[in-house]
Amino acid sequence: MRSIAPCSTGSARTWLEPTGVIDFDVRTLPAGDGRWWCVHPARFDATSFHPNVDGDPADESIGGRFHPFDDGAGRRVGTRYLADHPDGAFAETLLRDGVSDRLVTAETVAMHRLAQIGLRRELRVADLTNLDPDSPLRAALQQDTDAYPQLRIVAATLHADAQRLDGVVWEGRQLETPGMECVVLFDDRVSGESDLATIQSLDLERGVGSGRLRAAARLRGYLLPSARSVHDRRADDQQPRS
Amino acid sequence: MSAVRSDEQWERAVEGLQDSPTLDADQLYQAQQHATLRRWVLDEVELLGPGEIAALLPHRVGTDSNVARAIDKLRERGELLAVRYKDVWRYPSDQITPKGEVHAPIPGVVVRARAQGYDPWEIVYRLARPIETPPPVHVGRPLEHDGRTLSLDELFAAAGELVSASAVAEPVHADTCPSPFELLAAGDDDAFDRAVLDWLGPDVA
Repeated sequence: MRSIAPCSTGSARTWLEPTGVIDFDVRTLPAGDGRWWCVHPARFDATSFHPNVDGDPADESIGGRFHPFDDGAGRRVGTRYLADHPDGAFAETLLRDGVSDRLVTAETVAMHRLAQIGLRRELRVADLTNLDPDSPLRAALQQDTDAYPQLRIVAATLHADAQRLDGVVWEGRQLETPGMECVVLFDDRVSGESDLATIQSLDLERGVGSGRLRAAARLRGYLLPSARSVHDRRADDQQPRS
Repeated sequence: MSAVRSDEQWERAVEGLQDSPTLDADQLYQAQQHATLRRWVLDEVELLGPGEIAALLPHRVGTDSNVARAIDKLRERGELLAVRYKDVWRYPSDQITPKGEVHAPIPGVVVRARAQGYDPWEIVYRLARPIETPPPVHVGRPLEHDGRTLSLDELFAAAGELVSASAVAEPVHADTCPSPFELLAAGDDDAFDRAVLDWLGPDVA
């Protein structure tokens, strides 16, 4: 349910410095780690961060698992999501659960690319992958959007931690493959230009990127656009026949 | 359908698209947003024509035949806020005090807003719409946890309580909130200044 903001004419914004401590593991992702992937809008660099400027963090129908959220001063924190496998990157973006027709449009395919990302420096992230099997937080990470507002508060609180973390790593749910990890990075800690590098960026309409998308779609039971079938058949027609 | 026919349709579709004007999704979205904003201003804000606004400003523009020119000069200098609609300049009546002056903070706010790229419609909208500020229960903000050490599950549970508190908070309809114009009319300049601060940031000039 979307909350309605009460009006106020006198709320000076204040920095809410957490005084307590959150007990969590920190993982270091090493410099040079190049196993990360993302699916991103083609008009933006793969290493750019979504500014998340719009949207109410209490509204689970918008945003994602760990965005949008604000820092203690009320500034919106931008995010970049990565997955440790191309299938995971697709599963968390174009091929998400909860889409009734499980169909990706030609326009969507044309507007996105698959990119492999490397880390130029060591990153320190809150590690949510070692939660107890009966942990409510672990269960929430496996849920659909219902828990998103709660998880955004968790992200905001971890972001505000004195350790000044670069992000959060967790076990992705969309692929339902144990061990597949996702990470969300914070734009005020990580620079897309100097801390991340695009190793490769793949067109999803053809070539290797198209193959990756088709493989992931088969795995997820998704249909790809019919326009692609026409295009693919045209391409196939140009191949020498055996 | 044969493969040949499919190919012909494909070619026709591509040829048709290559000749059509392209629309940038962002520009289209922004145009729609701006149209909505203008519609709101036209529906909700009392906009006066040049003659009507001049009648409210007798001390500034006089009453002779140069009234229209005097109004134009005030507008051009940024001392009067106006939007242009169907080739006529229209002036929000709320910028005028009962004593026939422009509210003192308005010209400065207009200059700062223009410098930040806001167009006159957006400025009128910002000054006339009810003020919205974050709710007292901040979903999406860091949790304050009072010196205690929390496990991740305790943090998650506390976040759930906060979300629940937010969901049951009494909704306040935007209609009951004052706009910056209304704050000026009520003489609450401090609240007006805070609203402008939230909108435009500190005045660095």
